[in-house]
Amino acid sequence: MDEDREQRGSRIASGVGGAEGQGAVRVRLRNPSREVSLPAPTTVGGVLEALGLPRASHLVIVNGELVPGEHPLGPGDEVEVRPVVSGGAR
Amino acid sequence: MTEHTPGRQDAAALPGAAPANTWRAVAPPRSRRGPRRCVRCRQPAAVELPGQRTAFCPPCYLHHVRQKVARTMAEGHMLRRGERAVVAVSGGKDSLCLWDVLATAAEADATGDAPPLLEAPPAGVYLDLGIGEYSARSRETVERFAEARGLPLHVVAVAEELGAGIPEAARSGARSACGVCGLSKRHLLNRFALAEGYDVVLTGHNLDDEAAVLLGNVLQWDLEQLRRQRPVLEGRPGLVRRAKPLVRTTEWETAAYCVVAGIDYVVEECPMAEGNRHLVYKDLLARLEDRAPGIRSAFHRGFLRRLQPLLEDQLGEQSLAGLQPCARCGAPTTGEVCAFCRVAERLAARREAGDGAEPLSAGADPHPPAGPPPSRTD
Ligand code: SF4
Ligand SMILES: [Zn+2]
Ligand SMILES: [Zn+2]
Repeated sequence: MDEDREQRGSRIASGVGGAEGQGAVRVRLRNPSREVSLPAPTTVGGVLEALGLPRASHLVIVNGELVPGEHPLGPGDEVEVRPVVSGGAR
Repeated sequence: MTEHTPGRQDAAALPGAAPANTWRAVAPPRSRRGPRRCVRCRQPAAVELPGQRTAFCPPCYLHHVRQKVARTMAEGHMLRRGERAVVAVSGGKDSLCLWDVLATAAEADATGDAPPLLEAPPAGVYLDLGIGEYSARSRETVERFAEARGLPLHVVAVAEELGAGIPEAARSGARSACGVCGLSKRHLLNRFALAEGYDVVLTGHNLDDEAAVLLGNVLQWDLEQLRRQRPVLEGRPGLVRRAKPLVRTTEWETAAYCVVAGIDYVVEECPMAEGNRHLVYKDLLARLEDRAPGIRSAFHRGFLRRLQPLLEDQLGEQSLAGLQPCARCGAPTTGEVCAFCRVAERLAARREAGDGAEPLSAGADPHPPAGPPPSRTD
């Protein structure tokens, strides 16, 4: 099922990417799963700003780990932006 | 799909490896060039908490969350020495973070490393809500977590108790899915805890949940709901105490805890949550938090300190007076029949009338045939 996700993700990415080719950071988003490209170099904080997402409700995971907001990002980095919001009325 | 985190980020976080508890110390101004450092041990920081003006390396971050939860539990008198607690687990980040924190605390207690909190790692109880693929995945995730750590897990199927899973129950009545779900969780967790002799049910409600509910209640000026919005709801005959040890922990913090600790949780959102107004409140509060770090916590803490006690004084007595046992199940309720039994009766009546044509277990099978997940509409 992971593969299913990945495939859907890259199909969308090919249509959405705003900074194709070299010097782009590929960012995977969740719920729904999709991928976008952003111009490199940037930072963790820069990614959230470019996407207009609040920092308080999203984790940015770089190569499987958490890093500070000023952490620089380049084309080789595997970046996931993961919302942390959950639940309805409980 | 649950996220398979490749490994834990706190590789050095073995018991006893953490340095002395110096994280309260104020961090000196960071130089422009150097990386941000952990306020506790001066190693490079990985987790920044702007709302608390602090940052931690991976092992110290786990320590920070565990200390915060232990303090919240102690100050709120959530659990007394020798009591038996059960954790309500859903497979999401909050409840698995809580379960992990408590299991770790119990281990530390055994070695005398931490203030006594629990005598043994607590059991978990998972409610199968019968929400198709989502529930199946959640259950698998919880079962894997429990098995890997050797923690006892109980499973209660809502469909068996209510007569249908949450989606079917919501279709058949006046309540929203989250409305039926919320009352079923409260009712069934209480019933389970009473039957099994637990003293307290611990839930994973976090600071953002509480702040969003608070905002909703304030916008409506729902004084009775505001009065009841406490981190601990004391038990009384027929009702087991309920407590929220994560009430000071944001959901960003619980998610970060899971990533750092290598806990595999269900990242995907419950399909019934869409359009829920609490999600709108949460988004508004998160945007506010970005502009004014710490505002959510101040909003909620100020309420608990300044307003909630006044409401308790004014409204507490009269609310208690109206409770009587449900005519069907005996649970304390304000009416003759409790809300859970009313939903169950409506479902049974519909089925008898041949109205609810779906089989009883529709969507409730915890192990549906393997295959790709249903495509999502969002
Ligand atoms: S989003 Fe609603 S239906 Fe889904 S688990 Fe939460 S309360 Fe229940
Ligand atoms: Zn540290
Ligand atoms: Zn009842």
